[in-house]
Amino acid sequence: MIQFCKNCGAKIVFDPKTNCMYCDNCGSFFDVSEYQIEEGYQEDAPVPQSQLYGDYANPPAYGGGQQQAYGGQQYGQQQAYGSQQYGGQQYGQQQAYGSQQTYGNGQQYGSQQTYGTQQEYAGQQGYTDQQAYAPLDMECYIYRCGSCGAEISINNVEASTFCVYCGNPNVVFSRVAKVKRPQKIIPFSVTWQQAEMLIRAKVRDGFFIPNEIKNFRVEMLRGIYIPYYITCIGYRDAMEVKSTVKRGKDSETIYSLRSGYCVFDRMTTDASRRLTDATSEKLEPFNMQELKDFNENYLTGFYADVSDVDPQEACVTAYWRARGLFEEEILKSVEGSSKKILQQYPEYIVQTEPMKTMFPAWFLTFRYKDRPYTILVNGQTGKVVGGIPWNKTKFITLFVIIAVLLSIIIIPILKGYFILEFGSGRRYSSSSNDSSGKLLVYIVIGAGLAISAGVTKLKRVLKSIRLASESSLTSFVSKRQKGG
Amino acid sequence: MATFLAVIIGLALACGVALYLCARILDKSNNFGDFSGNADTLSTRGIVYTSSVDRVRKNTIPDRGYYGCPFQINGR
Repeated sequence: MIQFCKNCGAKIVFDPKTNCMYCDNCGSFFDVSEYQIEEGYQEDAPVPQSQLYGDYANPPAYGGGQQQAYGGQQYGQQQAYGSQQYGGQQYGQQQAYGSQQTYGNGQQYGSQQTYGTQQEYAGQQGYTDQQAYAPLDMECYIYRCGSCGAEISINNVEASTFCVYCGNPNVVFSRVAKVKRPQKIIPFSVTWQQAEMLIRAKVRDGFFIPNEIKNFRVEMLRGIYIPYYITCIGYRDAMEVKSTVKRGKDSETIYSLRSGYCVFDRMTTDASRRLTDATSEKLEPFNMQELKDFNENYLTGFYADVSDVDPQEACVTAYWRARGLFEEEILKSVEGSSKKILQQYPEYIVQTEPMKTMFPAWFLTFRYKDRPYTILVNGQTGKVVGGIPWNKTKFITLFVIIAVLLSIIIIPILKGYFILEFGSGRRYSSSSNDSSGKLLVYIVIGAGLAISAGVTKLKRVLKSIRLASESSLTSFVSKRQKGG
Repeated sequence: MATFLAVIIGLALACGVALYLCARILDKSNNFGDFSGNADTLSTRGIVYTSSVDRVRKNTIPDRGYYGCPFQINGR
């Protein structure tokens, strides 16, 4: 589906700057609502590549095969979930909530919307054979461009893309509208130019960023709508927490009880298997006040994926996230250090069906030392996310300079102090011995803490850099067709 | 002896502080946008405590009354 200008007939795309549909040819603006999709509109269904070219190496399996694969996935998840549950201390109570509340809901969603979709969809559209006979490993579908009629390939989750031949933005309408149509969307507010500017500003200021990266050439900057679920989950928990508090010279172990609840009414979890949770969580927060009813016109001019995670799985992800956040807050409320949860009784309920949404993000990919890295920009707030490779030589040089300078200051002071305390033949008392010993211990502890904090920070940065160069993230962007 | 001690301890402290400072600068410079969320950003009201008791005996069972809780699980 391509939208055309009502004035000149050229293709139009969604413009984040004006929040309108924009014609590049005659400069006209149209409100998004002016372009309504006709009722009963149907497009040619995407055709599996094997149907066109004959993929004899992978003989097609029936719909049952697909179900099997799907079932297998689900089984795996439940198993993992189960082991987490039963491995911990919260065996009894989790079993209770799991069976009654969430699985019940999840199954309901599944039967109505998710599990049956491929088959139902195929049946309704009247191309049962093409969809249901799709081989298990088939990722590529051939789709006919609504503008030039060329055949373009799409994968099984793409909802909008660009035609490689005419460059026109195509929304794979039938898929979005019928099967996995989101309920809400946050449209792009940050333009292509702004996204590039934001990344350049961040990169320019980075002290340890290599100069080659500072002057990066935009190899690929793609605006992609990421599918998310918004789940309203009620979580409550009662815990016993052990902690250690200082009382003068001694430390004491205390036990505290906390009970409470929280309604996470804006719990977001990403609905794309191809994007890691760590990456999508970093992109947050999105401003939910700007959620709009889904309209295909927002997708024109951008890439978009539909969800490939079922609502039941989203509920489980939302539960683990809610639990983590709840525990974090509870531990903060308990005094002392070395806090540990001794017993807890987590319960949760998913109050409404997870809402399918699409959130905007810009993905910039660049290469450094033959390795691709991807930086993300929140398409609504402009928040830049990612880890950039570092200049190791510069890091080591700065480290040595600081260490030498500090040594020049610290060593003579310590030497003078020790000479005063232990040397010069002075007869020292046991109390002076004590204070010297204490100072020594404090210095050693201080050095240990500094090293430990430094190593933790270093690990965090390295993890972020590793995440930015993950092949799954790179392929999420690079497999998009060029256009736009 | 005093010189030896001063050098060893001084170097350890200097290296520790230098590593921490460099790692901090590196974090600011090369790592953008960390967000793991918190209860306030993902919920309207945040966490509501129904019971909070400090310094109890070990293995005391926490109160699971959840008074005022707006949702019910397993009939309570």
